[in-house]
Amino acid sequence: MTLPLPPADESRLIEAARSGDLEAFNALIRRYQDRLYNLAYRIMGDHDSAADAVQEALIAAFRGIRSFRGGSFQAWLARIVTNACYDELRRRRRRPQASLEALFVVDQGPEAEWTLPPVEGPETYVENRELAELLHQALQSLPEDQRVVLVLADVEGYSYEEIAEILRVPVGTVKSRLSRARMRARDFLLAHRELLPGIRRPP
Amino acid sequence: MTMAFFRRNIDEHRWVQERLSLYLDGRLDPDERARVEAHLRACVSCARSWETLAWTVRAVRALPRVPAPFPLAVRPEQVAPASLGASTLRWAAWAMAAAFVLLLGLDLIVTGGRLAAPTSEATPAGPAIARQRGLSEQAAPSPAPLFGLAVPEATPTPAPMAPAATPPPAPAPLASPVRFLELALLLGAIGLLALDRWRGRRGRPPGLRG
Repeated sequence: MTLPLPPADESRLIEAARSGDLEAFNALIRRYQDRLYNLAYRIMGDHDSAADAVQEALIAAFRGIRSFRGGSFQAWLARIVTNACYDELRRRRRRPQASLEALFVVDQGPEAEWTLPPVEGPETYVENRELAELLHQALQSLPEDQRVVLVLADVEGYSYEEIAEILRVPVGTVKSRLSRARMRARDFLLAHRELLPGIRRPP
Repeated sequence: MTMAFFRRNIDEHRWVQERLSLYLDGRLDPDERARVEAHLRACVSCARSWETLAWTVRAVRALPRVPAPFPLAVRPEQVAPASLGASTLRWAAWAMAAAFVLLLGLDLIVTGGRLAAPTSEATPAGPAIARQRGLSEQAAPSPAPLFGLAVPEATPTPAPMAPAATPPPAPAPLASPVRFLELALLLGAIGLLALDRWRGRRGRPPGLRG
């Protein structure tokens, strides 16, 4: 678990990174790496693509750190990761076999444990893993633009305004995409309700 | 009457459905919120839609964070050469473009805006300046005037080292190298910018687009 840096430390590291200090930049990244990776993983759907996208994004971030004009450094990084994901998705469309792999390879990623209470005993854990897997599939079933907004809003917890800034779209667009994404994810879960453990089935 | 009632009812369903996501985030104003809540109390179908939507969002929000499977970092070799090359290229291109504009501007001023006209070099001005400053013709090394500002006198004394008595200079003797330099700068700037764009399309990492 990483803790947020005190603002003064973060500013100092950003300034050092702006003057080309790669160590300072990597120290910043270590603070956000799990959030950034999770963002890419939930958008891309598999670990290989997520790793590629994040790595591309970090290189771009270091090269472009002079364009960071203050504000939330984390949101700035999220924007770059999101753009890298869009690029990676575009590349994947040009290589259709990659998306087929992503569909059929069962992901063995390091899923953390399910956090909805109550979590007791191995059965619950298995149930939760099933639900987490189904939710992940629900995310992947969404159109890209809707998935990105849903991940930024409900997985990463960004506000409408932050998402609008990250994606450079109006807040109204964020609202409508999020609404459609949530409805669609809900419909996906309802269509696959037989896969859900009884206790966590949608009402 | 009945049709109007159904249409109004359908419109109300749709209106509520479109706002459930905002209602969930507490982003409706009080009037809209009251209208949604009144509808949800009265409409079983929309109430069910609301419950399943809220359940879904709760579940997505509780999705566990997947940590990075390896420490994320940028290695020096991933950034050093390319970033230096790209920025140097761009700087060189803009410097050449600026030099071109500057040179062209000076050229136009000197030639009075006539790109094809000969430059008026006012060769007799050198001795004229020398005389005005009270220097002897022997001491003056007959410098070529830089900007052609000196006015030739009515009766110039012949100077041995300055070609004052020679006929007017051949058309644009100095313009050709200058024009050549201008053309080279322009082509160089365009070439470097094109190279930069090409490299950017090939190798620029994502994320820095507007």
